[in-house]
Amino acid sequence: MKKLTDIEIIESVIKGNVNDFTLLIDRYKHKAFSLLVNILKNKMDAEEALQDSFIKAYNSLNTFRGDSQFSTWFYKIVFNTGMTIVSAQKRKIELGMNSVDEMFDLKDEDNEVYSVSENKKMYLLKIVDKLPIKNSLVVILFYIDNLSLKEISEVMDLSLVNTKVLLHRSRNLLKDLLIQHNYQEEIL
Amino acid sequence: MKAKYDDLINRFIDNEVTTNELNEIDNLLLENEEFKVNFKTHKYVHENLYDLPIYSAPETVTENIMSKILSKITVKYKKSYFFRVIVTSILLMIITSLFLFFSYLGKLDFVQQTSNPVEVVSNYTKPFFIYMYKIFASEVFRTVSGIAGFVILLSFYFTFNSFKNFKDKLKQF
Repeated sequence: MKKLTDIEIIESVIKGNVNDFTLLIDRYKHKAFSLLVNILKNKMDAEEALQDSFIKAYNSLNTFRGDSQFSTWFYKIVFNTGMTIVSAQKRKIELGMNSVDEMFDLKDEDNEVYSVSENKKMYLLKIVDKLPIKNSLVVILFYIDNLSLKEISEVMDLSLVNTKVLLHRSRNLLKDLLIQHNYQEEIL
Repeated sequence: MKAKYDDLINRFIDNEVTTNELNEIDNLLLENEEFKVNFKTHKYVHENLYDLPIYSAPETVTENIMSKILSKITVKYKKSYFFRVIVTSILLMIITSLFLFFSYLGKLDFVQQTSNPVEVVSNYTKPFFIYMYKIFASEVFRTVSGIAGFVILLSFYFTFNSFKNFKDKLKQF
């Protein structure tokens, strides 16, 4: 059976086949959920935000012009929904480009993750969650969602240069953390 | 120096280095132990981040989202159905009452000399009622009311039809 493209599904939904929207939900729910868990650090909030994001996407489907990919357009909705909730909860967040220039202090989180990690890979994958929101998001969007830097910059409403800086700094930080824990000996 | 190496390695990972920079990296890997450690660890980070875990969304999430979307559609259809029926009924009632009211008043014989205040008021308004009666009795009015009746019947049809379509869509799910 031919796999429908995102655009074909959207056209079908707009024509009145509301049921076809389930195809889009099933296609993006897990990755969007991962993104939201990373933003909100809480699965219950993430589930609620996920539902809101899909409903917002459904209601705005007519405004999707196809200039960018549906995934980019949808992740922007997911990102904004997540950030709105974070702002509402008045958590400590890094908004705008300040986060790129700020130094990180992951001492407590790092010790916590290091103590429960059995090996370097487990440590690496866990410590990503502890990075500042924008740093971990850029990593997730790049490595899990396979978005290009240009698409990530659209989703996160950053310039292309700043997005690249953010990704590079995130990688540098992760590399430095591995070296700090002497994992490089195993790597070499 | 560390920042320079990090930048070089990042650009290598992103396939953005020139041939000269590639040669520089080769040389540094042979000669500089610190660079080698940074390079290998950086590469390890890059290659392993693709294995970041994806959290599974709750199983019921698709069902929950679709039920929320469908409930909004239901409300929309119900509102549309309710609105049309109410407006149609009110219009029908107003037209019928006006027709009966003016027809009845137009036929009344009004008293010429009277001290009864109601009859006095009736005498003053009589020309208006007669005028309205003539309008209601005219061919033009019958034609207009006929068209209005047709439009009302049509709106009933569309109301029924939209409700039927809605039920069909519900059945699809």
